[in-house]
Amino acid sequence: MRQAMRIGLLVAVCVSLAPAPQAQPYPILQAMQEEMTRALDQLRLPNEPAPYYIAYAVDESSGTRVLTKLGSVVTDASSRPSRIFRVDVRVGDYNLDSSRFISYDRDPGVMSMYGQFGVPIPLDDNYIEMKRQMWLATDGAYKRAVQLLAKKKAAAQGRAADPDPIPDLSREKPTETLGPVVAPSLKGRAWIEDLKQMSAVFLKYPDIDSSEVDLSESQGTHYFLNSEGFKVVQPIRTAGVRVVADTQAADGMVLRDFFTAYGTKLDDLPPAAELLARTEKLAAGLAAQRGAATGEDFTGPVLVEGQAASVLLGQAFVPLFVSSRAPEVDNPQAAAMARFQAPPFLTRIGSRILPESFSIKDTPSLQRFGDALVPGSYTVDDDGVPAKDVTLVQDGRLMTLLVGRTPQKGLLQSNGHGRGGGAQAGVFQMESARGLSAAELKTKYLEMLKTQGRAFGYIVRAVLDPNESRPSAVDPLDAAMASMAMISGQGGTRIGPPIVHAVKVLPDGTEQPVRGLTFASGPHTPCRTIVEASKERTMYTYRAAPGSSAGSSSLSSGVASVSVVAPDLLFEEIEIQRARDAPLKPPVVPSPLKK
Amino acid sequence: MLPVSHATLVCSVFALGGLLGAPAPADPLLAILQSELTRNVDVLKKEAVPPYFVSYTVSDVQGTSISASFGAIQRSSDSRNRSLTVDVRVGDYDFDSTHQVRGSQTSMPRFSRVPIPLTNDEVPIRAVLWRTTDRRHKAAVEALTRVKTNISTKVKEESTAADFSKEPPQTYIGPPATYTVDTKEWEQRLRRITAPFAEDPLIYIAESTFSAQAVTTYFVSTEGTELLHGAATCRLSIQILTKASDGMELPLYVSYLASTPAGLPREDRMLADARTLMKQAATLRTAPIVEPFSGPAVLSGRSAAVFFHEIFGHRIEGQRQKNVNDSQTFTKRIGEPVLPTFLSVIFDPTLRKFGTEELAGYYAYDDEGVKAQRVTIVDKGILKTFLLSRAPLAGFAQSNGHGRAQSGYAPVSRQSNLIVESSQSMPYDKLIERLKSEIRSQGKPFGLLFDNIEGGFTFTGRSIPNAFTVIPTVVHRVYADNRPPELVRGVDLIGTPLAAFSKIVATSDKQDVFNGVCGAESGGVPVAAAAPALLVSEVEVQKKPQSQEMLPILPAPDRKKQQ
Repeated sequence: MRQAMRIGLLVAVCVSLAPAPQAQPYPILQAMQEEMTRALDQLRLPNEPAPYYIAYAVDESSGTRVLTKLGSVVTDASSRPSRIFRVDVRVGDYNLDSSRFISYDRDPGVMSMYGQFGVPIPLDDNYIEMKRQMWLATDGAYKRAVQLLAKKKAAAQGRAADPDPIPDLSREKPTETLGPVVAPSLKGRAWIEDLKQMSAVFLKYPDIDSSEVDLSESQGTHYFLNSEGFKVVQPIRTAGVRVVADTQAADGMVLRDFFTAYGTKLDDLPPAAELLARTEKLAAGLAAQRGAATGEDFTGPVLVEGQAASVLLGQAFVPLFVSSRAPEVDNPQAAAMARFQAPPFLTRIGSRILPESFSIKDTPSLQRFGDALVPGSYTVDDDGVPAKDVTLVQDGRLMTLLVGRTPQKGLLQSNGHGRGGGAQAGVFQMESARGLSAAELKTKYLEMLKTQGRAFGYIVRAVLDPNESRPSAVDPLDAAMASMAMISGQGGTRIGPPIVHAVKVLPDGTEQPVRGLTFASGPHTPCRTIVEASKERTMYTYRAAPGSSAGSSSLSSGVASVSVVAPDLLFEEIEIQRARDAPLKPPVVPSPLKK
Repeated sequence: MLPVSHATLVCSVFALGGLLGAPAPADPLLAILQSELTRNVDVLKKEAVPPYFVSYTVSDVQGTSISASFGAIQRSSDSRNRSLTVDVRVGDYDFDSTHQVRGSQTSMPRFSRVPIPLTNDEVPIRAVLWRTTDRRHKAAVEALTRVKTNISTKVKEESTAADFSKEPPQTYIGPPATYTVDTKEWEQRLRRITAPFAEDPLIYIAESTFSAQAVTTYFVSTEGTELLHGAATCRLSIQILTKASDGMELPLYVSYLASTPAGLPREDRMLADARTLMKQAATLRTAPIVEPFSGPAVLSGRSAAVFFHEIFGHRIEGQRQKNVNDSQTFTKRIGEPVLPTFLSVIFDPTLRKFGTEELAGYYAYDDEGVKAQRVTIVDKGILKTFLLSRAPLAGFAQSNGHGRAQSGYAPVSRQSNLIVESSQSMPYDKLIERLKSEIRSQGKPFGLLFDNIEGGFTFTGRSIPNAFTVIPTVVHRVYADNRPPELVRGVDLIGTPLAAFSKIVATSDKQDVFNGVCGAESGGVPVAAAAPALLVSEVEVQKKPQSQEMLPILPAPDRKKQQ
């Protein structure tokens, strides 16, 4: 109940564990409960274990998507509600169960696959038919679970027993989080004129050869129920606007910029006038970038400011603080290819990973940052576990990782971060107890350049989030060619996120804009080289790609919003590279935007 | 693999008004396409490697799709989108950037499609056309370099045909396609059609889908072709699945098509068909399993239609005669007998209906802007020509209007409406009598009657055996004596093409139509096939892949205990 007190967005009520049917305000939950009870009581193959854990989820949602280009509507799609049912049936026990095992065996039938992925259930309030779908999906899931557990045990027989085995499912105290069922009120189409106006900004910039402005919103209700007594009814609410634009410099280098604004509903987003102003700024900034000098390879002190710091943290830091556990696979080739790795920070819990003044927390309870709503905030995770605020780094020392109900060595309880199909952050905040003002931080940076006898340094002001900035209204053939060019151009090496806006700065503070830079190295090396941070912090929100740890939670609809709150960061040493993409010659035919 | 998708009934009937050859009224989108085409080509023609051909195709697609299961609506959605495909060719008609690169492991199907505004806003549409033309031109220049290298490093090519045929420009401006659907009414109808299946607790899947689609195509090319034509499509399918106690899954299908929602059969006929499916499902569950067998058989008209589509139709598609990886069964057989002398095979995309049945393979212009043509492929057993797109073959310099593709794919020669005609025909009853005498004369215990099919697939490559499979859903064992035909289960019809054709003995006197969607290199295209029932002196059947999954453990939820 402590959790329920602070959820705010939900009206949390606690109902008795066996509600009288006539008082049941959630007919879908009732249908789920009835079919689950039948399965728990009776579903059993002769001489095989009965399910020890069953979870059901239904996502009932409808949405709008509008995409505009240069003042014109390209996509205008409103979906009627869909209802998707997902099931997780496990046999075995908490210590060793049928989860986290992938089998490549396939039955030629279609029924054996039933319920492996989301099953559409009626849009009509036809509860008998809903239960029929749940029945078949549960039957399929149970039969698969029995086979998977047998295979998992067989695979384990060939190996030496693990002296310190980790359970497959954590034990948690059941919680009910029952919010209201709110009828969707989609407003996306009321935004069409605003979106057209935003995208029409690019008509004034003939050098920007591709741009799009899109809006998406989704509303509905998420129902979750498991055999331990967890129950969740809570709203599904996401809304966002995104602007992406590409240009080509005279030497062929492709330059891209983007921005996103996310909220739980469209009314939460900044007003249209502000989004329009941000679009104008983006367009002007991108056009100006074309004339910037090309940056150079550089290893040394770098100052990362504002949005750039929060995007960089989201890209390079957040994944390090998330627990994961590799599933086993019955196909040796696939196992070798998959090369699932243990979370890199697992063995460093208790160690110093940042300067003593730094702390990192994940605080799903944070609903507002300054005046802004925090889209990554949430109350219960995909498993129905109440979200906990977690201190990840205290006094520079790593304390723990974010974890759902799939335990890891030393991480045996969920801290309410089972999201998006694995463990995921919610509101990831970094701060320094010795934070300087942004101006002081810059002064300190320039001093550092002088002390080190550097001719120049780089201040990074905007970073591209590759997932969030991928344009959607493009030719798949071009997308395939672009990714091939990137692979061949970069020699296949992994690189960090591309830099959108950076300036070359001389020790006297003179700034010169540069283009074509990207963070070079793999993720965790820069962590150690952070030395100072600002007091001022910036929030950036992104939609995390579904987790890769199969078998950990099949009930997630896949996408989780993550908000990162980061100060400006001064790195003592970081590697920056000149982008190695093979440039495409600029078009010979002038743009039709040029009069 | 070239599956004819099961239960997909496609009707693609053009709602065309205007007259051919009439002066083209300026359509605003065509005007934008034409003027941006000219503006781009005027500059690009001065390049070192200029395009010799550019075309723009815009597909404007409006769709409605509704599905119900056991009396409840599962999905219901509307959609509308417009997408552009640009073809830029460099080189010349004889040898161009699309030439086959022999030995290439990375030859992906050319799929290229980009969304454009839904309204005729000139500048935003021009911006997409311009950028896409630039990218396709650059890609074509690169491709030409690759094919030139390939030519100089490999043995001399067997085929000396040009890469692109010269065709007369076409101009036709018809009205855009459209349809109207009463969504609420169709939702109610689908609930009623699928509700009865709930009476049988052993039917696990019972779904009916209604879909309507209007596709309007805008096409312009540097050769002067300018086309606007539309196609409206309505389908309704019912598919169910039951299981025998040994785990075998038994699917059954029925489907209908028409050019308008009102053209679909009346609801009482659909309900009656649904009842028939239920009865068949119940019989099939306990039907005996046929062991692998070879012997005489009759293929019903619908089965024979799929048989011809798979085994014959795919092997006379033009590009297979040129592709060095293809088995080229018929490439060198022009003028020779390839079928029994009593059979002729015609492809006729200009046919909207066969008898009273609408045909899915109807179109006025193909996807390369060539006018549809009736083509006699086999005349009294003799192979006359192939299905041709604008990729010519030696001795066949022109397209015969069969260059087809799903939106976004590069067109290749594909089937349209396949029609099998027979001069050695007899009433269906007589054909069954002939089957019985074949059974007797071959000393076989029984023959087979393939009554209905789900679809089929075939392999035409060289690296795997050149076999076909036809997947029947309803098969009967026919006895030479007076025992009635007996429903059986568990077999697929298999074989190799040349052997199969030589075994056709006689046909019935009435063709049946199969409408479907055919999938191959250039995506899914609607096709139809009409064939008489066939008596075949020898077919071979093999066991179907079988699910080992037992029946659901618990009974279905109690329907009487309503919430």
